[in-house]
Amino acid sequence: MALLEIRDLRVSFACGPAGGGRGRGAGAAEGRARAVDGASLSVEAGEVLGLVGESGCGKTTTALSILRLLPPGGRVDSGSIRFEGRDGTVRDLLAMGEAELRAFRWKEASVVFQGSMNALNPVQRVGDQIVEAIELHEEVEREEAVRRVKRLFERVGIEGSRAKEYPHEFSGGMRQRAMIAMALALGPRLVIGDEPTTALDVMVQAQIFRLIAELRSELGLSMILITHDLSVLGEVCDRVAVMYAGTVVESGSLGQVLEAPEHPYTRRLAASFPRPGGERRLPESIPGEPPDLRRPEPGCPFAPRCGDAREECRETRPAPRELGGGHLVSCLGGRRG
Amino acid sequence: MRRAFLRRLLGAALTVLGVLAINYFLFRVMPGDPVAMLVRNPKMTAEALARTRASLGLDRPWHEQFRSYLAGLARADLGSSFIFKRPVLAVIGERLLPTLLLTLVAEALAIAGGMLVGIVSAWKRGTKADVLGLGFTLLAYSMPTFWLGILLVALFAGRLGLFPVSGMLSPGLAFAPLAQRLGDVLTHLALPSITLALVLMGEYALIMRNAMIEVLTEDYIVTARAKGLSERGILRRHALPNAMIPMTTLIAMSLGFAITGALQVETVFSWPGLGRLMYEALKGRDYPLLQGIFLVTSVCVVGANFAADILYRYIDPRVRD
Repeated sequence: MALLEIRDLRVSFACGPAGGGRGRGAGAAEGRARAVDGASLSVEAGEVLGLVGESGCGKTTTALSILRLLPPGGRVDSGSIRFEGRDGTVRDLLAMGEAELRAFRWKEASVVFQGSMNALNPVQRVGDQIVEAIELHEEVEREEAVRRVKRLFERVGIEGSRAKEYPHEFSGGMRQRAMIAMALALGPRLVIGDEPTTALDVMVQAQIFRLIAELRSELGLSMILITHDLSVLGEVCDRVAVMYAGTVVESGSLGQVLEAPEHPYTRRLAASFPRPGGERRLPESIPGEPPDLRRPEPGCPFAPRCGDAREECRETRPAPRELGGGHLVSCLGGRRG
Repeated sequence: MRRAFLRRLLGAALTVLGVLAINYFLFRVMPGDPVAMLVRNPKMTAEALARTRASLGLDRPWHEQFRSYLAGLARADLGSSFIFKRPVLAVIGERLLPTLLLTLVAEALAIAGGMLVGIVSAWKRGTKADVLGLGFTLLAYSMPTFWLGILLVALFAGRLGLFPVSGMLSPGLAFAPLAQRLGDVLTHLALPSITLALVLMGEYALIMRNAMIEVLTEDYIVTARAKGLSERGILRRHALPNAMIPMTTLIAMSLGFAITGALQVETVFSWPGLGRLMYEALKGRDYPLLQGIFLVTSVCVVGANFAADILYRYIDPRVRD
């Protein structure tokens, strides 16, 4: 099987009464918003999957569910997340007990958080925060752990001596590098990058992506790279999964999804990004707005905004359809002529 | 670092000097004549009154009085108390220890208890433990100190007879062996220190709870959890060190005021401390003694702030340079 397989994941968050008290409560689970609504995706060993979609579409929630790191009020309602361990055994991450879960975190799958500004503890030395992760999972002498942190720092392009410094003494780019070093400290099988370059300037973004690409070919890392920036995908990703309103609407290789998008949403999304050297025009926006997650509709979530929607689209939720070569699309509409 | 230290020290010294001058004149514009308070004999002749006034130095012009006060201060001479007829320093000195004993024990209890309640409340916020812990501390916090003291006396000293009603040492034990005296002081200490601790605890618990709740929403808590830390480990290694930053300020400030903050408790329990001494000095218009107490208080408050400033550099690396 694949390294990671998410099947039909449903996650909801506690929130105020549905419909703002207008008394239309019968629809969803009461007072809960469905942030992820039947998402499925998989990551093969050694592969980088780009997870794209607009803000609030459930990218981060899906990724945090893998490590069971949902914030208070969040809950996985159904689905399965299966992960193949180093020894070839496959475990359902959603069924793991507390101790097993703690041993799994960071050792098998780690995260490079978005906006690393606050992802590091401000009153602890950066190096110590990485040493902490190592000591938590491995029986090593402190000196050995410190030496490893130095090597990690040098690998991501920071002087080893700066491990003794505090996060506020680092620039944004250095903090992100340190975060990457921390994510790699235990040699995990999967690294989740949650918008790792957001809030960094373009030059630093490029450096970080070069680093990720290098590390990836060097270590054979599997990654999930979350982003809302399509231009980022081409730099490091092998495959792409597009999310909309809590479900994965299309997935496939980079070429399949970006060059020959099949789902109307992916097409509009791809069209809204200007290409360098292309004709000079304002990007098109998609009319309408994403559905209210507190009241999931039975049909395709994109139907209200889709130009090609038929009656059927508003009633039946489309299942993923294989188009060949691993290209999956969740849309009832046939290939348009 | 060294320069910052010296600059702050200088600032602290200047503050104490300013407070000194204000205190000096503050007492002299207060209504009430110290000689009249002292003599209490309506038939005393005018010459005798003038003589008393002169013996206290109150007949000289105010600037001369102030100058000799400052000159005395420079020699660590705070003058003589009007009512006790002894050097102010000696009078304050013998009251200092009981006050420190009472307030430090109470503060230690309050800080430990308040932090515990605050941490548990934040960690289990919205649960019964939160409501119960917070409700109890708020109740104690909003109760008048003297009222709480009287209630505790009525219950534990009066009805149950577990502790002595007042004072610091039972009469007749002044020459008893040290161990016996120590035990006796401890039983006397119980009620006043618990009263003071209960009153002080609420503030610590509230600030601790707020600080913890804020820290627990930070990204680095998610990072810690992602790394595989247990909930206890997250609390101890990531949440607490950050939540302690606002707590340290509060603790330092409270400790500065602790020396006279026990006025009500000392009065209710007849504890022979500085708070009660201040009350007596105020009633008797004892200028030198009042000035002395205020000087000690100011030095403590300013000193505590100074200590907090320095301590801050150790717990928050961001203010180090």
